Amino acid sequence: MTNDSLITNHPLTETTFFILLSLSSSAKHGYAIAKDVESMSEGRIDMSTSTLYTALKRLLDDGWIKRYGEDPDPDESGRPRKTYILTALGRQILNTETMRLQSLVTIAESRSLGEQV
Amino acid sequence: MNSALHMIKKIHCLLMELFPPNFKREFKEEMEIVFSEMVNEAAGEGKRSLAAVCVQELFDLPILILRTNLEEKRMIKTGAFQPSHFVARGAISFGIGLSFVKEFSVIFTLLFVSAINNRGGWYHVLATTCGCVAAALIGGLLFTSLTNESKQFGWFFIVGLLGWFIPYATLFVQNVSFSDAPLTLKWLLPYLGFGLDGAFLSMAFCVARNKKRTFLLPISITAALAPVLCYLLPKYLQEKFSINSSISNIVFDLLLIIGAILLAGRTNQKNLWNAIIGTISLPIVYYFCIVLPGSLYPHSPITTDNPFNLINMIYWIILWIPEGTLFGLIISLIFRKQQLSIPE
Repeated sequence: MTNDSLITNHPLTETTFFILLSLSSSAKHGYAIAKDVESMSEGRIDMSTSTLYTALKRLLDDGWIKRYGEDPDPDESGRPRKTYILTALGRQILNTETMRLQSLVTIAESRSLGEQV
Repeated sequence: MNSALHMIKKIHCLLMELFPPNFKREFKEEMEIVFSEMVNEAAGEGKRSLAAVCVQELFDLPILILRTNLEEKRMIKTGAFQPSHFVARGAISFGIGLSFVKEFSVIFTLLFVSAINNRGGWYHVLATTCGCVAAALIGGLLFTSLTNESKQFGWFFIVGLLGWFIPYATLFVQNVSFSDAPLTLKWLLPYLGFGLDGAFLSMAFCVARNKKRTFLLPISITAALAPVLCYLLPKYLQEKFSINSSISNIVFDLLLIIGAILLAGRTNQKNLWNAIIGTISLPIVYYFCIVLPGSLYPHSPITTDNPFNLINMIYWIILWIPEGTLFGLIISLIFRKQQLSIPE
């Protein structure tokens, strides 16, 4: 994938960024993703199931995440829970977005330091 | 409490049925599991938490159900300008869509114009503008659905709507306001009209694909002023300097085309050429798909007298399909390099 096509996908929405970030460490099922996103965003992003799954569908369609398998720990009614994980493309997108955000922070910090001087 | 939870889950399960079949097949069971877990957890925290989860779900569901249904049922998979193997199917879908939108946009506008046919002047400007807004709404939806931008549906819709509206409103105001003017360069105007279409649709693709939100302001200003200026300018030039209105129309159209191409070029250097190719391609396609077949088979133009003449409508739809298909092909080939390649 070229840099151009990577750049056209940025900036990511906060929800997309947190979902990708949540799946970057390990495969997770839907509920775990929702909880992880809520925790990482300190409660700011509290997704409904429909928002979560339409976002997951979009990420699956775009090839940013993929199905990984079933969680060995089923839900309370014994139904298996499908898990998702980041693809190489998803990781590349996440890294690019992280670098973009880092560069913004660096610029902001250098500007505010300059003002203090 | 348990029966209330059971009922909430049951209602949620019923609402899930409103999602399109493919989505349900893929996610319904998982969504039920997750919702059940969320509701159970919230119930443990108290009634307020439970109500918050339910309200949030109810708030999100309608728009997401509508959106997923739109995405599933439209020509998205075939029509989207996605990887190269979709190009032909995308172009044909675009052609069919463009053909129907053109047909009905013409009818919309003609109906508005015919309603005030005897008034003339500013009434025509107002009527054609209203007609073109209606047409642009459909055009914007087509544009959005064909670009497969479910992530930025509203943004693509606005850009597509404006990109569609400007050339249509300009051409209709020029046609109904100055149709009795001496047309020394009559042959050039339809080609310029199609160039205007190509320039603004290409520009809309460039701006939307590159997510240049700052360009929305100049495009909106152009959309607001173009119908008025394209009426005022020829009128002024004709009265003050006795300049033929066809010439001033040509100059006005050329200025708009140049403006659209330059705006597209500012999104990305490559897009300057993309927009130029898009602009030139439509008049060429118009010649081969409309002018040549039209000269072989007798037909009548769509006028206020016959907007719903069935044979006429079918004739024009059939003529416009290859035009739209070829333009779709050109656009998709031009913009292919900017697509996200989806790995296997």
